[in-house]
Order: sequence, then C-alpha cells, then structure tokens
Amino acid sequence: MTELAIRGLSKRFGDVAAVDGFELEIGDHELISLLGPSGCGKTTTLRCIAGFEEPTAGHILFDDRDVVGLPPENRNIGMVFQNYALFPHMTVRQNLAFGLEMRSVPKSEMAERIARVLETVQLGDLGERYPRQLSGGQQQRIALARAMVVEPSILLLDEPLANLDAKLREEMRFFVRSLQKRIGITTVYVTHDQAEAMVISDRIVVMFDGHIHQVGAPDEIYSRPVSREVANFIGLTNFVEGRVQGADAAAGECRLETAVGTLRCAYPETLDVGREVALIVRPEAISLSAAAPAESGTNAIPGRVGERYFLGNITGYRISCADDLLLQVQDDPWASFDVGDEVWCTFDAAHAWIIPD
Amino acid sequence: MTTAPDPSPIPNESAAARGRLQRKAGHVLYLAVVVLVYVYLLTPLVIVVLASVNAGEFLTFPPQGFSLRWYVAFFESEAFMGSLFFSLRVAFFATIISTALGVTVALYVVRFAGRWRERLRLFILLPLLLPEILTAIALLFFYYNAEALLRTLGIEVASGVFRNSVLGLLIGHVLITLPFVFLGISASLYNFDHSLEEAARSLGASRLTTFRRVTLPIIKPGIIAGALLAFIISFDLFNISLLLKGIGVATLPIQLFDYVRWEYDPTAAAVATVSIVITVIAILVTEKLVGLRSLRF
Repeated sequence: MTELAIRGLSKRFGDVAAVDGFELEIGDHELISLLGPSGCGKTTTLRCIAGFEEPTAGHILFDDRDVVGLPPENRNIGMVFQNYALFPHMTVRQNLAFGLEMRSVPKSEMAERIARVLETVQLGDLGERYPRQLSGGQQQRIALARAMVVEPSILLLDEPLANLDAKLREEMRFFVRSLQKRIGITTVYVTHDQAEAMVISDRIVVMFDGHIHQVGAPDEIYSRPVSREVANFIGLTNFVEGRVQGADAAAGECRLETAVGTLRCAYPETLDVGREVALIVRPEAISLSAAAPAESGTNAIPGRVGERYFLGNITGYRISCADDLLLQVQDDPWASFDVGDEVWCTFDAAHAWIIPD
Repeated sequence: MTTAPDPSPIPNESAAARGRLQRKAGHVLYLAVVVLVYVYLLTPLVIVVLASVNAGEFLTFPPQGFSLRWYVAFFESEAFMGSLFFSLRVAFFATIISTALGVTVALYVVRFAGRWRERLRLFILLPLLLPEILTAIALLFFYYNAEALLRTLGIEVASGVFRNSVLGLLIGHVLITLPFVFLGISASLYNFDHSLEEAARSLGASRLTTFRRVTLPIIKPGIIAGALLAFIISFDLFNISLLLKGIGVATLPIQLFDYVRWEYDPTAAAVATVSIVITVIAILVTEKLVGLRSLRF
C-alpha cells in the first residue's frame, strides 16, 4: 500500500492561485477528505494528484516517488468522478475490463477479478447491462468498482455522492467507508458536504481560497476549529466577541470580557490580556432555563426567545441577548419555551472554544 | 345542505360545448397546416417518380400507361451511366476527405480554440452561408491565379491542372461539404463529457488509446451523420460542378441539366428517381449504422 505526501503544492491559473502552499502527509490505509466551499482548491488539488493538472510548484510523492510530470495513465490511480463517467458505449463488464486491458491482465484473471469486484459492490448480476440501464446508485457503485478493480495505489474520489438523492447519499457514505476500510487503500475524497466528510473521513482537510486552514479528525475540526471560516463552515456556531481578561494555561482556562458579561472558556494556550478574540459555542452545548443558574462556574447569558422551530430530534431557538447578540440554541424537543419568554442560556466552559483573530 | 339551483344551466353548458368545439377546430386546422407542408414537400417527388414510369413520349402528367422504358434508356445511355459513376466517385472521395478534415478541425475548434472558438466555427461554416455560385467563381479565379503563381515560382504545371481536372472539382466539393461534416461532428463534441476521457486516462490509457477506444466510438454517430450529408450534398452539387468540372466530364446533375435543355422525354424523370433512390439508400444505411437520431443537429 501507498503513502502519499504533498509538499508545497501550488497551482496558478493565470493570476489566480487555485492552490497555494499545500502540505500534507497521508498515511497508508488512511481516508482523507478535502473539504471546503466551491472554488477553495480542493478539486484542483485532487486533479494535481491524479495528473490532470500540472502543479505550478511543489512535489507529489507516492511512497517517496515524485509523480509530478508523470501522465495520469502512469500513476496507477483509481478515480471516481462526480458524474461517474462510465463509458456509455460499453457494458458494465467492458467498463470494468478497460483498466485491466490497459494493464495487459490475462483473460482468465480478468474475468475472475471482475466477478470479485462486482461481488464487492453487490452488483454481481449486472455485468451485461449498459450504464444507461442502471440507477444512479448502481452507476455510482460500478464507477467505484471500475476504479478499484485495477488495484490502484491511491483512490481519488471527486464529489462521488453529489448526484445521488439525500437518502441514498447517506447510505453510500457508509458503503464507501466500509469498502475503503476493508480494502485498506489510501484514499483522497473531495467533498463540499461537511456531514459527508465527518462520516467518512479519518482526517479532514478544511480549505479556503487555496489554503489549508485546518487538518484534523472530525471531532477535532468540529470542537476546536482554528479559524472563523472553519467554525462557520462546519455546523452551526455562535460567535461572542470579547477581550481576554485573564488566561491560565496551566488550568487550561481563559476568561473573556464580553458585552454579555464575563465568560469562561477552556483553552490550552496563554493569551495576552486585552487581546480581542472570539468565543465560539455550538448551539447544542447551550441549554435554556427559566431561572438563573445556581452555580457560579457556568457561563450564563440572559435573553429573550426570538424564534423557535421544531426539527423532531431537537427544538431550535434564536435568542436575542444584550448588545444585538443573537444566540442559536438547540435544546431537547420537549423542553418548550415560547417566543417572547425570558430565558437564561447556560453553557459549560469546557464546551466553548476561542478563536484568536 | 342544499345546493342552490343553477339559474342558467343551459347557457353554461353550451358555452362549454362551444369551447370544446373551438379547441377541436383549432386542432384540426393546425394538423391541416402540417399536412399541407408535407404535401408541399413530397408532391414533386411523387410526380417525378410517376413521370418516370410514363409510357408516353413526353414528360406529361398524368402519365399515359406504365413502362420502364425510360429506365432502360437511362441505363443504356453511356453519357448518363458515365456521369452517374463519375458523380458517385467524386462524392465518395469528397466525403472521405472532408470527413477526415472535419474531424481534425472540429476537434481543434471545440476543444482547444478557446476564445477563438466561435469565430473559427463561423469561418468554417462560410461556404454554407455564402451563395454557392460565389464560392465557385472565387475558386475558378483562384485556380487561374494559382497556376500563374506556380509558374512564376518556377514550378512547371500542366495547363488547367486545377481548372480542367477532377482535382479542381474535388477541392470544390470538399469545400462545400466540409461545413456539414463539421456541424455533425462538432455537435457530438459539444455534448461530449470530458470526464470520460479523464476516466480512461486514470485507468491507464494513453491519449491515443483514449481517443480510439472512448472518444471516437462516442462521436461516431456525429461523424457518420456528417459524412452522409456530405455524400448527398456532393452527389447533388450543381453550381460548383458546372464551373469547375473539366472538359468532357460531367456529374449527374450537370448531365441531367444538359439533357433537359434539348430533350423533353421522361428519361430525366428516371434519372431523378434513381438519384432519389440513392439518397434514400444512404439514409437507410445511416439508420442501420447509427440510427436516425444522429441526424439531429
């Protein structure tokens, strides 16, 4: 199996830097997602790895071998495209055989490998069909099978589930993940769907404007984002602007002076007193109560329920607090406050995080 | 609950009936227009076929009895048979050449021309937009000058190397048929999904193999449709052939024109019918190979 290293990768299109200074090491068996809004450079990065784009600068190493300059057909990659790109004039079997023919695999072995991969994607009896005779989900799985049957060193997936309907998409996330774990192939997965990236990835690379903002496991990205962009892109977030009042790196805690009073936050590093920072807290970390909390240790912000919506598993609120601060809160579906109610929003210091601007 | 009685059920009902009648009349009228268009298109064909089996001496309608004598006259006429095969030969070579050129140029224009694409597309369609006779005259002048130019460059060429030869005629036919081939191929290239080629490359196919195994089979219907049109157009071409044909040779349309200037017997109708049959055969072959859908542009 293969380790992938990307060193100082940059790609410019004219004056525009699509990718700038991309650094990443991807371990054997690992599934990495490149996540970001459209135009962030994630697809360009993938296409550089595949060999469809020539990097302006930098190196791409497959097991310490630099592949920059090598045409895609000599990189031994498997790639799945957003629109599947199955050859319409070939049957499923011919599609699967294509890569094997290019590698001069003997006929008998070819038949065996095709049968095996069809089994793996659970479409054993569709070999003689043409792509147009398959459903979207089936085409998706054949595209995966076609990429994997050649036993590539690296599997590249470019928004492979984006064209499926929501229900199927969620199922396919687990299918792709379990398949990748079973086969253990090093995989780079491009998506703009944060939920998809969270479900599928070992680690997520969050990109904006051609730059990597953060690399980390899904829970790390979610609970300890390094920038406002990352916090905003992954899930719902409340920002409370403030000034550092005192920080204690040893205790891992930091106090902030904000328009809604002093707030405490877990933070492992020491920050200069007086520095302007943003405290972030996720909607589900906040709970609502009618009375002020008894303990003095938790953060509490008073406010008034501005809007309320029911989502089944949660009830969402938008709470208007002092200084035009609007807090988004997700609480138990059965904890019911009405619009106009005066409430206290409380959250633990451990569930808050700081983004030093 | 009681329903209020409708004060005027009869006027309402008749209004609905009138509406239905109007819709129906409109529908019939519309169909009639469509039918008339088809009648307008097909009547000349029917008449020419009927006239060709006329037993009488002249091109008259209605025909006077059934006879295949004019077909016999046609097949026994050396002039007609010679020009038929000459036309088929010219059409064949013109098709081959303009298809090869068309594929090459269309690939470039659609794929690589970038911001020049629309301009280049327009240029190659010019022979379609300009009057054919202008193209023919321009070519004729060009041939005169080209000969003189080659001579001043010291290259010895036979007199009338372009003007009085199949070469000059073929160049003209290729020029006129190229836009049709280009349209067919570029239509299928515009719709071509680029990721199919990338998929092939990712699976280990070189550029050339990718073109041969993926691109070509997928744009094949466009190529065949373009080639078919080129063949029919070339077979049919009159103005260009009239000006550029060599002395002593004639394409079928020219021969036919010469013939009807002096004779007025149904041999002309027989020739026309044979031309129609050849066209129909070409269309049937396309239908068999790639389906008629590919004739949509």
